[in-house]
Amino acid sequence: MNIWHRIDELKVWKKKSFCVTMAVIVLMALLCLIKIAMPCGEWEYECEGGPAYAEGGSDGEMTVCGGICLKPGVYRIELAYHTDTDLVAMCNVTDGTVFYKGLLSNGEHMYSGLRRTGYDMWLYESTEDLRIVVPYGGEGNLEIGSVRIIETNQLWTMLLSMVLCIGIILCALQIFYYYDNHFHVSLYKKQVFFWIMVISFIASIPYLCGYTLTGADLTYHLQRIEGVKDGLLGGQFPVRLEPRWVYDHGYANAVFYCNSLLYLPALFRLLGFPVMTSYNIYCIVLNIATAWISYYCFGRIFKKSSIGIVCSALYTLSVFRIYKLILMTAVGEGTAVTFIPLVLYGLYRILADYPEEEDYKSAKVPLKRIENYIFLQKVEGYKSAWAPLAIGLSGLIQSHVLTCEITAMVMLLFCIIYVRKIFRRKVLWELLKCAIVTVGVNLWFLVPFLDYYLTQDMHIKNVSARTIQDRGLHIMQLPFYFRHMEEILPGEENLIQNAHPVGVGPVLCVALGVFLLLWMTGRLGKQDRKKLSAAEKNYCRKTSAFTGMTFFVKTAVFIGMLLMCMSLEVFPWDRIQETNSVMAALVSSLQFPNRFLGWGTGCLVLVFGFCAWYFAEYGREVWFRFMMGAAVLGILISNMYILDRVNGEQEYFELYNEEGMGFGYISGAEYLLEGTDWEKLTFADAVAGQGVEIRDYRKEYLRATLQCVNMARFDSYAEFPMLWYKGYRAVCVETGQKMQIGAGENNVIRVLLPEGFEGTVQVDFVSPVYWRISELASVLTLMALAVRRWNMGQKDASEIMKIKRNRNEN
Amino acid sequence: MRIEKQRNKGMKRLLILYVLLGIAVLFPVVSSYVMSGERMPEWTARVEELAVGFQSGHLYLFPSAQTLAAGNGVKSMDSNMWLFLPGAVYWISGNLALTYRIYMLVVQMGTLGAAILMFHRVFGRKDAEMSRFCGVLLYMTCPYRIFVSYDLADFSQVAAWMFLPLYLWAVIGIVKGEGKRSVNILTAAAALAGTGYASVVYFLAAAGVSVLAGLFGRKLWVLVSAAAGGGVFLPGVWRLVSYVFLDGFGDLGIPLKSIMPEGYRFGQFFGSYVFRDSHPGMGLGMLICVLSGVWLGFVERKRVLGENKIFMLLSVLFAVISLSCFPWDIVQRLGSWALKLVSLLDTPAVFWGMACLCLSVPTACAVDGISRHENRRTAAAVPVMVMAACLCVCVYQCGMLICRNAV
Repeated sequence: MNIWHRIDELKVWKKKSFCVTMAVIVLMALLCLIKIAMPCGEWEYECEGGPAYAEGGSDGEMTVCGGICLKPGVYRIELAYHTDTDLVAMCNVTDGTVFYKGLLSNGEHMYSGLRRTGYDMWLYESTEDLRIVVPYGGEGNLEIGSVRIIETNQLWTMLLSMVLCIGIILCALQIFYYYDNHFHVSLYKKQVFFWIMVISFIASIPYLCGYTLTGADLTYHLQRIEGVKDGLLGGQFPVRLEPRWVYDHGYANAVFYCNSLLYLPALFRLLGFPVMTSYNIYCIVLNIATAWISYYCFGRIFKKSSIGIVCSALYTLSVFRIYKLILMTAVGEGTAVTFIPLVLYGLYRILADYPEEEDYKSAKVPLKRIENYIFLQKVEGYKSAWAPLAIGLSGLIQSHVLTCEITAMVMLLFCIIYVRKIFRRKVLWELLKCAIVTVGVNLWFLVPFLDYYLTQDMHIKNVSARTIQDRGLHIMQLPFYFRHMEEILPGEENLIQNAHPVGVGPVLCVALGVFLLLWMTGRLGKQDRKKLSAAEKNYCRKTSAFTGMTFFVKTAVFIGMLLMCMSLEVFPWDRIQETNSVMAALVSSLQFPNRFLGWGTGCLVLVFGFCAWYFAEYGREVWFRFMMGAAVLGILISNMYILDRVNGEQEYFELYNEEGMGFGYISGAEYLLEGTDWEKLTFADAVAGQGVEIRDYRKEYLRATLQCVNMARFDSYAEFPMLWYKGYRAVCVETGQKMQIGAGENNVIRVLLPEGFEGTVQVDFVSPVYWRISELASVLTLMALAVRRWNMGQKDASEIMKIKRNRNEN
Repeated sequence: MRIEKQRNKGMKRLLILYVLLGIAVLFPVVSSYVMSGERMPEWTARVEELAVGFQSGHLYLFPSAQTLAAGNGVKSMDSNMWLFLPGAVYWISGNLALTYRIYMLVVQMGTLGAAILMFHRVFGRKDAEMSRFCGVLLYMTCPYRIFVSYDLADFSQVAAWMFLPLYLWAVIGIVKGEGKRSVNILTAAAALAGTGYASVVYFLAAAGVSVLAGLFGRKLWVLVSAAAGGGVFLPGVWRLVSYVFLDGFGDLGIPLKSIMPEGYRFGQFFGSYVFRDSHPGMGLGMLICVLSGVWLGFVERKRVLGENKIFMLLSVLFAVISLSCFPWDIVQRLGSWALKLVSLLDTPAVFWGMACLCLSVPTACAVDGISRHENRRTAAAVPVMVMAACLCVCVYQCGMLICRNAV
């Protein structure tokens, strides 16, 4: 009887408490739906005392209008204005009558290239004294017009999603309660769930504080989330170009930096949650995913749940992860770290778990062993060994390309060391399956990526001059991490000028030391098999659990140490960079040598797990406890300490609407066409070429329309304030004819207007056909995988039933 | 005979642990510094005023307006009662550091004694030594208590933390029917009044909870003791009534303000080592205890709280009202009395301290439950971890304060 049948048998829906909960949730959901269905209002207010003007010289705050009455809701504020300066004035809303945080908005800066603001505010309490104000910096001229307040139903969509989430959680809790009472959930399952959720919770504490800790990359990643949201609103799927980024010019970040995992926070944004909340929810989900994935992978490698849990804690709360995700807010790399254990486990399955003679299915697995190793409840076949690797690689590709580079290097090293196994038929076939699936699933991203990278002259191809060796770590930084905030970021005072003080932490270094000690003293070769029964010896031989694992971990130690060396300042990155242009570009793109510590941490957690497993398996109970104790102690006094310190001392901000952070930050401007001066880019109008008269210009997301007339006696042009990328097309709306389009001044879109042209030009972004084909190929691959998984699930279930029946008969 | 010997041995062990605990929380007093803090200008002004008063034969039960200005009037409602001792010491010695050290020494020892009394009564069973010790340990090393003692240097709250366990000891005695009723009632009244003379906010919280508990639990003697406590604290109560309902507001200079921004954020409850905005978390020790409790309840389905559920409920209630999202601004709109009363709180964070106080009982129960676990290693390891975590974090917190706040 499977779990659904059991739940069905419970007849939870007949329980009074369940019915009451459901009734309350349905009622609240209905209320929200009614509110969503109701029409939204719109109000227009003239500026108090007529249009207001401000001239340079005096700064201050102008009240556009006050005493506005509004009910709770999410509103869009559109203030008409005209200014000749950028970022000098700002439109904001204030209200002294609502409770603390009853009105959330960061306002919007004013730009000379815009005529109207358009930002959201969240109002949680009815008010009669809302004020629209404009703080003015005192430079340039400013003219304020009327203000339009547009009601949206986002407050209710937000509430509806919250009600549904809470409802699902409450229902799940009740079902669990009755299920546990009736069927008694095993202690083991509850223990695992408890610990993994505790680990996730501790890692998520900084995201439960109602603010967002700032780091160097935060704005960039928030822009990515907003880019996905705006792209979806603009009708793109998948989102290729973020339409509002770079001051409405559209930026090809998504083509180079896959954003598929950011659809989750973008969805929260679309539902009406503020930017900060969406980001925090995403990071919490990331923490939960990391804890579960690392538990799954390390637990399966060592076939012992306690080791899986401790490895999960060491990995999820690792110094490197805290550094990347919280201190630097490098969300892309932080996301990639989630998938490293899957790649490690996939490599282990393919290379070290290789069956010498037969598949697991045909091997007679001793029943006693099945009981001992709970992880083997489901009989698995080597034929699915490619799956974790493919999922891990796909996750890496879709989260952080630089980590993919490092992963490729690590995989190459593994393949070199396992060269004798690689060319066995089964291993090769698994690797091939993995490659086919990985490419297939990610084709939708890889094709546009390669298309742009190979056919366009992007800035990222021209950044080979940046050196990274001086940003390397000092060796003493690797094991220790008990730092104060003032030591966390590089500065002149702390003698590590360019090196970001990150390491792998003390526990993992201790584990490395223990492993090396075991290795050097020859203990790893003298595994005591005398204690094992004949059936267990047979099992070990079939699964090569002992010999295969030891060699795999030795390889991981070698690679881990190499990666740690590569993160040091003594590693000759500068010399490598000088060898040729390819290496120069690759090394330069790495930016920080400490990136290697992500994989270094993964390898060392594996080493820790192995040491604990070794001691447990060979009866060294005291040493096993020492390892576990060291891990717990290390987590409590090192990892949790730094987490606490960062949360307690790092600067934070509270951001609600995307307009509050601006649209300009693009980090290193890597995804602009080479030669673009990004400092000159700001909100702007369309520019007319010689003899052209522009009558109207409108832009919405990636679609712009221009009404113009070419009065010259020669061909001329019009330039759109949009960055030129392959994929844009221009058509004449009246005739439907395609028009010539290309790069203009500072690589903005230029449309050629024939002599005497009069009409409307529409420019929009259309993905090339081969991009669409690649998307279709990815969808088909995913569908094929889903069908295969479904069939395997059916087979597995019947196999388990067979084993159980045999066991009962015996 | 053997049982008697074992019990004596256990008592000795417990005594040694209590002494160690006392030493741990007194680290900042052992140094020859005075801990500076937000409230330091106010208490030094009060002590100096009292010393001058002693010299001239005046006894200031409440500070003068001039002195109150030193603390921006925030603590105008709190009396000088428990500052008579430091006032006298300062009058005699003229040494502010000595005054500070003697006051802190007396209050911390008093708090330790009161906590021992309370937890020995809460966990009255003979085999509940672990719960008692853990309770005292969690209470004494509570990061919020250490924070108000040495970081905020709030002499009023420190004294309130001393009287509250004594009050609870007496009230529990009344409810459980342990000890002489008259002694319990008198002690409860005295302790409640003592709390009031220390901090009006703590008095209001304690009296409010007592009245509700007395009414809903139909415990007349609890109501009587609360009324008696209020009676003994009559000068303070009158001052409070005058501030809230009459025209005494103008004299005290308590700023009227929104207190919601000063509240806790949810994640801040779980901090251990470092905190921001004067919001210390529950600390590592209590976090382990809470996790132990959740473990016992969720994984092992054991009910560890028993009759101490009320403390759990109270701690949740206090924690909720200490949050910055609790709508104190709306409460303030109930009328001018509400506006003044809420402004008197100064910060909702003060309720987190009370939540910690209440939480130390159920968490001690959880450690006790774990210490009786079938798995001997778990039964031994978790209490040791709690003990180590509490003491280490306390010593760390005190050490950091000595580095940062010593003047």
